[in-house]
Amino acid sequence: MSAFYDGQFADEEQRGLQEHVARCAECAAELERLKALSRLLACADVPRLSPGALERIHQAVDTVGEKAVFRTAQALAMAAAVVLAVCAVWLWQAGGAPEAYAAAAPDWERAAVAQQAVVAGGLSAEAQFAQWIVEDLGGENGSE
Amino acid sequence: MKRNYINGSRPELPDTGGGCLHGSDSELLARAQAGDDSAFHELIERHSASLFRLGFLLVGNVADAEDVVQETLLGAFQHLVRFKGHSSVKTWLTRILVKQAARHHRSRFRRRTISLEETGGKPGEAGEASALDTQIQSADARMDVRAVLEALSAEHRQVVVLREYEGMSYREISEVLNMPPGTVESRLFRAREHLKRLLKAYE
Repeated sequence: MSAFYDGQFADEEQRGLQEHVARCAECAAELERLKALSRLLACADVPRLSPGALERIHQAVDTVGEKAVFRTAQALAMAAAVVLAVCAVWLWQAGGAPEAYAAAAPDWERAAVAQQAVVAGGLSAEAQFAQWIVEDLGGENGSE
Repeated sequence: MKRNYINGSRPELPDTGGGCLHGSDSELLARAQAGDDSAFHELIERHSASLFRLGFLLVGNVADAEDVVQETLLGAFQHLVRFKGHSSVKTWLTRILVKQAARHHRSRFRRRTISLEETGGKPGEAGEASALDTQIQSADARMDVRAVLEALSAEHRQVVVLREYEGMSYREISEVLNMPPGTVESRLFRAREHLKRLLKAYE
Protein backbone atom coordinates (compact mmCIF):
# COMPACT_ATOMS: atom_id res chain seq x y z
CA MET A 1 0.00 0.00 0.00
CA SER A 2 2.92 2.32 0.75
CA ALA A 3 4.36 1.95 -2.75
CA PHE A 4 0.87 2.36 -4.28
CA TYR A 5 0.35 5.52 -2.24
CA ASP A 6 3.66 6.84 -3.58
CA GLY A 7 2.64 6.05 -7.16
CA GLN A 8 5.58 3.77 -7.75
CA PHE A 9 3.82 1.17 -9.84
CA ALA A 10 3.36 1.24 -13.60
CA ASP A 11 0.17 2.92 -14.83
CA GLU A 12 -1.73 -0.28 -15.43
CA GLU A 13 -0.82 -1.67 -12.03
CA GLN A 14 -1.75 1.58 -10.34
CA ARG A 15 -5.17 1.52 -11.98
CA GLY A 16 -5.68 -2.07 -10.90
CA LEU A 17 -4.76 -1.28 -7.32
CA GLN A 18 -6.97 1.79 -7.36
CA GLU A 19 -9.91 -0.39 -8.33
CA HIS A 20 -9.06 -2.79 -5.52
CA VAL A 21 -8.87 0.02 -2.94
CA ALA A 22 -12.32 1.17 -4.05
CA ARG A 23 -13.69 -2.23 -3.08
CA CYS A 24 -11.54 -3.05 -0.01
CA ALA A 25 -12.35 -1.20 3.23
CA GLU A 26 -9.16 -2.28 4.95
CA CYS A 27 -6.91 -1.04 2.13
CA ALA A 28 -8.93 2.16 1.84
CA ALA A 29 -8.48 2.78 5.58
CA GLU A 30 -4.70 2.19 5.30
CA LEU A 31 -4.56 4.62 2.39
CA GLU A 32 -6.34 7.24 4.49
CA ARG A 33 -3.88 6.70 7.35
CA LEU A 34 -0.97 7.29 4.95
CA LYS A 35 -2.59 10.48 3.67
CA ALA A 36 -3.18 11.68 7.22
CA LEU A 37 0.45 10.95 8.06
CA SER A 38 1.61 13.05 5.10
CA ARG A 39 -0.64 15.93 6.17
CA LEU A 40 0.76 15.73 9.66
CA LEU A 41 4.37 15.71 8.48
CA ALA A 42 3.65 18.71 6.25
CA CYS A 43 2.88 20.71 9.40
CA ALA A 44 6.53 20.66 10.44
CA ASP A 45 7.79 24.13 11.13
CA VAL A 46 10.85 24.55 8.94
CA PRO A 47 12.76 27.83 9.09
CA ARG A 48 14.35 29.45 6.07
CA LEU A 49 18.05 29.84 5.40
CA SER A 50 19.04 33.26 6.69
CA PRO A 51 20.64 35.81 4.32
CA GLY A 52 23.66 35.94 6.63
CA ALA A 53 24.15 32.19 6.43
CA LEU A 54 23.85 32.31 2.64
CA GLU A 55 26.45 35.07 2.51
CA ARG A 56 28.81 32.99 4.67
CA ILE A 57 28.46 30.09 2.26
CA HIS A 58 29.35 32.29 -0.72
CA GLN A 59 32.34 33.74 1.12
CA ALA A 60 33.55 30.32 2.20
CA VAL A 61 33.50 29.16 -1.43
CA ASP A 62 35.38 32.30 -2.48
CA THR A 63 38.03 31.69 0.19
CA VAL A 64 38.50 28.10 -0.92
CA GLY A 65 38.79 29.23 -4.52
CA GLU A 66 41.46 31.82 -3.69
CA LYS A 67 43.46 29.28 -1.68
CA ALA A 68 43.32 26.83 -4.56
CA VAL A 69 44.70 29.46 -6.99
CA PHE A 70 47.50 30.29 -4.54
CA ARG A 71 48.40 26.62 -4.11
CA THR A 72 48.51 26.17 -7.89
CA ALA A 73 50.79 29.20 -8.29
CA GLN A 74 53.06 27.87 -5.56
CA ALA A 75 53.29 24.47 -7.21
CA LEU A 76 54.10 26.01 -10.61
CA ALA A 77 56.80 28.24 -9.10
CA MET A 78 58.41 25.27 -7.38
CA ALA A 79 58.30 23.23 -10.57
CA ALA A 80 59.94 26.09 -12.49
CA ALA A 81 62.65 26.41 -9.84
CA VAL A 82 63.39 22.69 -10.03
CA VAL A 83 63.61 22.81 -13.83
CA LEU A 84 65.98 25.80 -13.68
CA ALA A 85 68.17 24.09 -11.10
CA VAL A 86 68.37 20.91 -13.15
CA CYS A 87 69.23 22.87 -16.31
CA ALA A 88 71.91 24.84 -14.48
CA VAL A 89 73.57 21.68 -13.15
CA TRP A 90 73.38 20.03 -16.56
CA LEU A 91 74.94 23.01 -18.31
CA TRP A 92 77.71 23.24 -15.75
CA GLN A 93 78.52 19.57 -16.11
CA ALA A 94 78.34 19.67 -19.94
CA GLY A 95 80.76 22.69 -20.01
CA GLY A 96 83.48 20.67 -18.22
CA ALA A 97 86.80 21.83 -16.59
CA PRO A 98 88.93 24.49 -18.35
CA GLU A 99 91.72 21.98 -18.86
CA ALA A 100 89.41 19.53 -20.47
CA TYR A 101 88.08 22.28 -22.70
CA ALA A 102 91.55 23.32 -23.62
CA ALA A 103 92.51 19.77 -24.44
CA ALA A 104 89.53 19.44 -26.74
CA ALA A 105 90.33 22.63 -28.70
CA PRO A 106 92.00 22.22 -32.11
CA ASP A 107 95.75 22.91 -32.46
CA TRP A 108 95.33 26.16 -34.36
CA GLU A 109 93.03 27.57 -31.74
CA ARG A 110 95.39 26.67 -28.91
CA ALA A 111 98.27 28.20 -30.82
CA ALA A 112 96.32 31.39 -31.52
CA VAL A 113 95.62 31.96 -27.86
CA ALA A 114 98.99 30.79 -26.51
CA GLN A 115 100.84 33.44 -24.55
CA GLN A 116 104.25 32.30 -25.71
CA ALA A 117 105.55 31.03 -29.01
CA VAL A 118 105.43 27.32 -29.38
CA VAL A 119 108.27 25.38 -30.91
CA ALA A 120 107.40 25.06 -34.61
CA GLY A 121 108.14 21.40 -34.67
CA GLY A 122 105.49 20.77 -32.13
CA LEU A 123 102.64 22.24 -34.13
CA SER A 124 100.71 21.26 -37.17
CA ALA A 125 100.77 23.43 -40.30
CA GLU A 126 97.47 24.99 -39.36
CA ALA A 127 98.69 25.80 -35.89
CA GLN A 128 101.92 27.31 -37.20
CA PHE A 129 99.93 29.47 -39.59
CA ALA A 130 97.63 30.62 -36.82
CA GLN A 131 100.59 31.49 -34.63
CA TRP A 132 102.26 33.42 -37.46
CA ILE A 133 99.06 35.51 -37.84
CA VAL A 134 99.00 36.27 -34.16
CA GLU A 135 102.69 37.28 -34.21
CA ASP A 136 102.10 39.45 -37.27
CA LEU A 137 99.25 41.21 -35.56
CA GLY A 138 101.54 41.82 -32.64
CA GLY A 139 104.26 43.34 -34.80
CA GLU A 140 106.70 40.51 -34.33
CA ASN A 141 106.98 39.80 -38.06
CA GLY A 142 108.04 43.33 -38.99
CA SER A 143 104.57 44.47 -40.13
CA GLU A 144 103.21 47.76 -38.99
CA MET B 1 36.80 38.28 -4.84
CA LYS B 2 34.37 38.97 -1.98
CA ARG B 3 30.69 39.03 -2.82
CA ASN B 4 27.80 40.52 -0.90
CA TYR B 5 24.61 38.54 -1.17
CA ILE B 6 22.85 40.01 1.88
CA ASN B 7 19.14 40.69 1.50
CA GLY B 8 19.02 38.61 -1.63
CA SER B 9 20.56 41.33 -3.78
CA ARG B 10 22.51 40.03 -6.69
CA PRO B 11 25.88 41.75 -7.06
CA GLU B 12 27.37 42.78 -10.35
CA LEU B 13 29.16 39.60 -11.21
CA PRO B 14 32.40 39.83 -13.18
CA ASP B 15 32.27 39.50 -16.92
CA THR B 16 33.64 36.02 -17.38
CA GLY B 17 33.10 36.14 -21.09
CA GLY B 18 30.85 33.14 -20.78
CA GLY B 19 27.57 34.88 -21.33
CA CYS B 20 24.65 35.05 -18.88
CA LEU B 21 24.33 32.79 -15.83
CA HIS B 22 21.05 31.27 -16.85
CA GLY B 23 21.10 27.73 -18.03
CA SER B 24 20.50 24.29 -16.69
CA ASP B 25 22.18 23.02 -13.56
CA SER B 26 24.32 20.73 -15.70
CA GLU B 27 25.49 23.63 -17.86
CA LEU B 28 26.36 25.70 -14.80
CA LEU B 29 28.24 22.83 -13.23
CA ALA B 30 30.18 22.20 -16.44
CA ARG B 31 31.19 25.87 -16.46
CA ALA B 32 32.18 25.64 -12.80
CA GLN B 33 34.31 22.60 -13.60
CA ALA B 34 35.99 24.67 -16.32
CA GLY B 35 36.93 27.31 -13.74
CA ASP B 36 33.96 29.70 -13.81
CA ASP B 37 33.36 30.26 -10.10
CA SER B 38 30.39 32.54 -10.74
CA ALA B 39 28.55 29.57 -12.22
CA PHE B 40 28.97 27.69 -8.94
CA HIS B 41 27.74 30.72 -7.02
CA GLU B 42 24.61 30.63 -9.17
CA LEU B 43 24.14 26.97 -8.21
CA ILE B 44 24.43 28.00 -4.56
CA GLU B 45 21.65 30.54 -5.07
CA ARG B 46 19.45 27.93 -6.71
CA HIS B 47 19.89 25.08 -4.27
CA SER B 48 20.88 26.45 -0.88
CA ALA B 49 17.29 27.00 0.31
CA SER B 50 16.11 23.47 -0.47
CA LEU B 51 19.34 21.98 0.86
CA PHE B 52 18.89 23.90 4.11
CA ARG B 53 15.30 22.70 4.43
CA LEU B 54 16.40 19.11 3.91
CA GLY B 55 19.35 19.52 6.25
CA PHE B 56 17.14 21.01 8.96
CA LEU B 57 14.69 18.13 8.75
CA LEU B 58 17.55 15.66 9.01
CA VAL B 59 19.56 17.24 11.84
CA GLY B 60 16.81 19.04 13.72
CA ASN B 61 18.29 22.46 14.44
CA VAL B 62 19.26 25.61 12.54
CA ALA B 63 22.92 25.82 13.53
CA ASP B 64 23.73 22.27 12.50
CA ALA B 65 21.68 22.61 9.35
CA GLU B 66 23.65 25.71 8.32
CA ASP B 67 26.91 23.86 9.00
CA VAL B 68 25.76 20.86 7.01
CA VAL B 69 24.71 22.98 4.03
CA GLN B 70 27.99 24.91 4.04
CA GLU B 71 30.02 21.70 4.27
CA THR B 72 27.95 20.20 1.46
CA LEU B 73 28.47 23.11 -0.92
CA LEU B 74 32.14 23.52 -0.02
CA GLY B 75 32.71 19.82 -0.52
CA ALA B 76 30.94 19.92 -3.87
CA PHE B 77 33.03 22.93 -4.94
CA GLN B 78 36.30 21.29 -3.93
CA HIS B 79 35.44 18.05 -5.70
CA LEU B 80 33.73 19.32 -8.83
CA VAL B 81 35.71 16.90 -10.96
CA ARG B 82 33.94 13.99 -9.26
CA PHE B 83 30.60 14.90 -10.82
CA LYS B 84 30.37 12.84 -13.99
CA GLY B 85 26.79 13.68 -14.96
CA HIS B 86 25.36 10.23 -14.16
CA SER B 87 22.73 11.89 -11.97
CA SER B 88 21.24 15.34 -11.78
CA VAL B 89 23.13 18.09 -9.95
CA LYS B 90 20.33 18.24 -7.37
CA THR B 91 20.61 14.51 -6.69
CA TRP B 92 24.40 14.82 -6.39
CA LEU B 93 24.16 17.69 -3.91
CA THR B 94 21.43 15.90 -1.98
CA ARG B 95 23.59 12.80 -1.73
CA ILE B 96 26.47 14.83 -0.27
CA LEU B 97 24.15 16.58 2.16
CA VAL B 98 22.60 13.35 3.44
CA LYS B 99 26.08 11.99 4.18
CA GLN B 100 27.10 15.20 5.94
CA ALA B 101 23.88 15.19 7.97
CA ALA B 102 24.44 11.57 9.00
CA ARG B 103 27.95 12.45 10.10
CA HIS B 104 26.65 15.37 12.15
CA HIS B 105 23.98 13.19 13.70
CA ARG B 106 26.48 10.50 14.69
CA SER B 107 28.72 13.14 16.20
CA ARG B 108 25.82 14.63 18.16
CA PHE B 109 24.68 11.17 19.31
CA ARG B 110 28.17 10.44 20.62
CA ARG B 111 28.25 13.76 22.47
CA ARG B 112 24.81 13.08 23.94
CA THR B 113 25.82 9.56 25.02
CA ILE B 114 28.99 10.83 26.66
CA SER B 115 27.01 13.58 28.40
CA LEU B 116 24.49 11.07 29.79
CA GLU B 117 27.26 8.81 31.04
CA GLU B 118 29.01 11.70 32.71
CA THR B 119 25.83 12.73 34.53
CA GLY B 120 25.13 9.16 35.64
CA GLY B 121 22.49 8.45 33.05
CA LYS B 122 22.24 5.19 31.19
CA PRO B 123 23.62 5.07 27.64
CA GLY B 124 20.43 3.40 26.47
CA GLU B 125 18.52 6.54 27.31
CA ALA B 126 20.09 8.20 24.31
CA GLY B 127 18.32 5.71 22.08
CA GLU B 128 15.55 6.26 19.59
CA ALA B 129 12.38 5.73 21.66
CA SER B 130 13.75 7.58 24.70
CA ALA B 131 14.27 10.75 22.68
CA LEU B 132 10.54 10.94 21.92
CA ASP B 133 9.58 10.10 25.51
CA THR B 134 11.69 12.99 26.69
CA GLN B 135 10.15 15.31 24.15
CA ILE B 136 6.62 14.25 25.04
CA GLN B 137 7.23 14.71 28.73
CA SER B 138 8.59 18.20 28.33
CA ALA B 139 6.38 19.48 25.50
CA ASP B 140 2.79 20.60 25.71
CA ALA B 141 -0.06 18.66 24.13
CA ARG B 142 0.52 20.25 20.78
CA MET B 143 1.97 17.97 18.18
CA ASP B 144 5.68 18.45 17.59
CA VAL B 145 6.41 16.95 14.21
CA ARG B 146 10.08 17.72 14.47
CA ALA B 147 10.31 15.76 17.70
CA VAL B 148 8.66 12.80 15.99
CA LEU B 149 11.13 12.97 13.12
CA GLU B 150 14.00 13.30 15.57
CA ALA B 151 12.84 10.11 17.28
CA LEU B 152 13.30 8.10 14.10
CA SER B 153 16.56 6.38 13.33
CA ALA B 154 18.78 8.21 10.85
CA GLU B 155 18.02 5.64 8.13
CA HIS B 156 14.24 5.96 8.59
CA ARG B 157 14.38 9.73 8.82
CA GLN B 158 16.33 9.94 5.54
CA VAL B 159 13.76 8.03 3.49
CA VAL B 160 10.80 9.80 5.10
CA VAL B 161 12.23 13.26 4.52
CA LEU B 162 13.31 12.54 0.96
CA ARG B 163 9.89 11.08 0.10
CA GLU B 164 7.49 13.23 2.11
CA TYR B 165 9.28 16.59 1.92
CA GLU B 166 11.37 16.39 -1.24
CA GLY B 167 8.82 14.34 -3.19
CA MET B 168 11.54 12.14 -4.62
CA SER B 169 10.62 8.92 -6.36
CA TYR B 170 11.95 5.63 -5.05
CA ARG B 171 14.46 5.59 -7.92
CA GLU B 172 15.74 9.06 -7.02
CA ILE B 173 15.96 8.15 -3.35
CA SER B 174 17.87 5.00 -4.25
CA GLU B 175 20.39 7.14 -6.19
CA VAL B 176 20.83 9.51 -3.27
CA LEU B 177 21.19 6.79 -0.66
CA ASN B 178 23.00 4.37 -2.97
CA MET B 179 20.69 1.44 -2.30
CA PRO B 180 18.27 -0.60 -4.42
CA PRO B 181 14.74 0.82 -4.90
CA GLY B 182 13.36 -2.28 -3.18
CA THR B 183 15.31 -1.38 -0.04
CA VAL B 184 13.94 2.15 -0.23
CA GLU B 185 10.41 0.78 -0.40
CA SER B 186 10.81 -1.56 2.56
CA ARG B 187 12.64 1.03 4.65
CA LEU B 188 9.96 3.63 3.92
CA PHE B 189 7.22 1.18 4.86
CA ARG B 190 8.89 0.44 8.21
CA ALA B 191 9.55 4.12 8.83
CA ARG B 192 5.89 4.97 8.30
CA GLU B 193 4.80 2.14 10.58
CA HIS B 194 7.13 3.49 13.24
CA LEU B 195 5.78 7.02 12.74
CA LYS B 196 2.24 5.80 13.23
CA ARG B 197 3.23 4.15 16.52
CA LEU B 198 5.03 7.28 17.68
CA LEU B 199 2.14 9.53 16.73
CA LYS B 200 -0.27 7.41 18.75
CA ALA B 201 1.30 9.01 21.81
CA TYR B 202 -0.35 12.26 20.77
CA GLU B 203 -3.82 10.78 20.44
